Amino acid sequence: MTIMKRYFRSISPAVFALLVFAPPAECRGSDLETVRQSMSAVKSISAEFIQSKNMKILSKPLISKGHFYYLAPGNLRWEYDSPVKNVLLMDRGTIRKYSWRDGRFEPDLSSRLEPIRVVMEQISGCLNGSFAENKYFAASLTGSAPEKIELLPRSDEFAKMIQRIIITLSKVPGVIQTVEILEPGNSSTLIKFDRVQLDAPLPDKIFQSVP
Amino acid sequence: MKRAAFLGLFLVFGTACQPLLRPDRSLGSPVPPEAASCSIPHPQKSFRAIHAVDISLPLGRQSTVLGIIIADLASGRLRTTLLSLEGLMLFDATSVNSVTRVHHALPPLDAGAFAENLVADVKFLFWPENSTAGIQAWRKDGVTTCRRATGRAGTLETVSAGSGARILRQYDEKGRLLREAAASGPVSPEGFPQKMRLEVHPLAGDYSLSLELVEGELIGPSDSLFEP
Repeated sequence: MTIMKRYFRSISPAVFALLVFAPPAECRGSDLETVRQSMSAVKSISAEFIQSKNMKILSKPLISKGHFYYLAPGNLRWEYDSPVKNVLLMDRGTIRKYSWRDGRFEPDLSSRLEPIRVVMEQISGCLNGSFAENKYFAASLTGSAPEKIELLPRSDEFAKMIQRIIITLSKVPGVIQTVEILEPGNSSTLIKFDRVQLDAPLPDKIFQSVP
Repeated sequence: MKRAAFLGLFLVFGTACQPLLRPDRSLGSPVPPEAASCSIPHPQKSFRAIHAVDISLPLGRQSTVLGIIIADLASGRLRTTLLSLEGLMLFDATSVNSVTRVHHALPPLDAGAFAENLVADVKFLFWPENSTAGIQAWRKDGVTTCRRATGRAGTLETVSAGSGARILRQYDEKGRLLREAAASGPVSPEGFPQKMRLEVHPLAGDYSLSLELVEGELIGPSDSLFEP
């Protein structure tokens, strides 16, 4: 099945763009420069998250739960506990993905689909808080109490996958409250963060291996 | 004489098209087909199901997605949606009486016969022909093998043992194996096996899918479930 094989070789970078955008975007400020400064000051993040996938074909949201960890300057662990155990690791430029199969974590092919270049661009962009320089999305700061960062795709190609991303900032400086991803067809994904800890010590090994 | 010639031609060409429907002593003694032995476990009414789907390609390449299936058995409508584990929609299509319409597909899932193959896989697993008409059955050592002709001159085979294990196979018109599926684990009251494994053989694609039920429910299907 050639098409299936092609899918695994060349999936869109959108998935990783989402992953990279969501975790490190902990910030609060009155403009994007303040946001950038807040993000640059964060050394580490750990949090739990609940992801609600809303689609009109579902009778109720599809709920996923997990944890994420971030360690400056470029380490990330994005881990789903349910309904499917799955871990994405980024360790100093190397990205790996693992899915739970037959009682253990096994490498997931999709980690090899994404051009490393795209991943690194996203990581570096988020570490710097430089939303405005991101090649995939244009950012603007909207709302007040809570403030929101709105990301709009720069290209029509990307807009076919993601129409808008809204990052809602917490009242607590440096903490993100939710990330909402709006897709075509009245579908959306809402990620709520909880038990956020900033600048707690995180061992390197959680970014290098599973579990 | 003409009648004999016709009968000869029928035997030659008829059985050539359905080689697996000939008597097969290796499968045991012929027995009357029974629904209990020859049916395929799947929901008997319209349903919505979500599965974690492990996709395995040759050379050990694997990935996992979430699959959503909505089936309206009465009207012949089927919706199949694939999501990344991160929630991003990868593919979405509706099939109505074998006509498939793709609503959303990220490249490269928007090309070629992907949609048709996916729908064929889903129908094979979840929407098999369960009529007992035209079924031939054999039994040997407690194992019952049932075979029936399918719409495209192929053959569908179920193999069931007293333990409850059940295997489903699909052959083409020349008797070559296309798809093979096995269900394991408990079957929910609605008729969803907890786990299913599908082997798609090289003639039909050369990959395998392992499905684990996340949630499944019987539904009263509304038209909106099949609209873009």
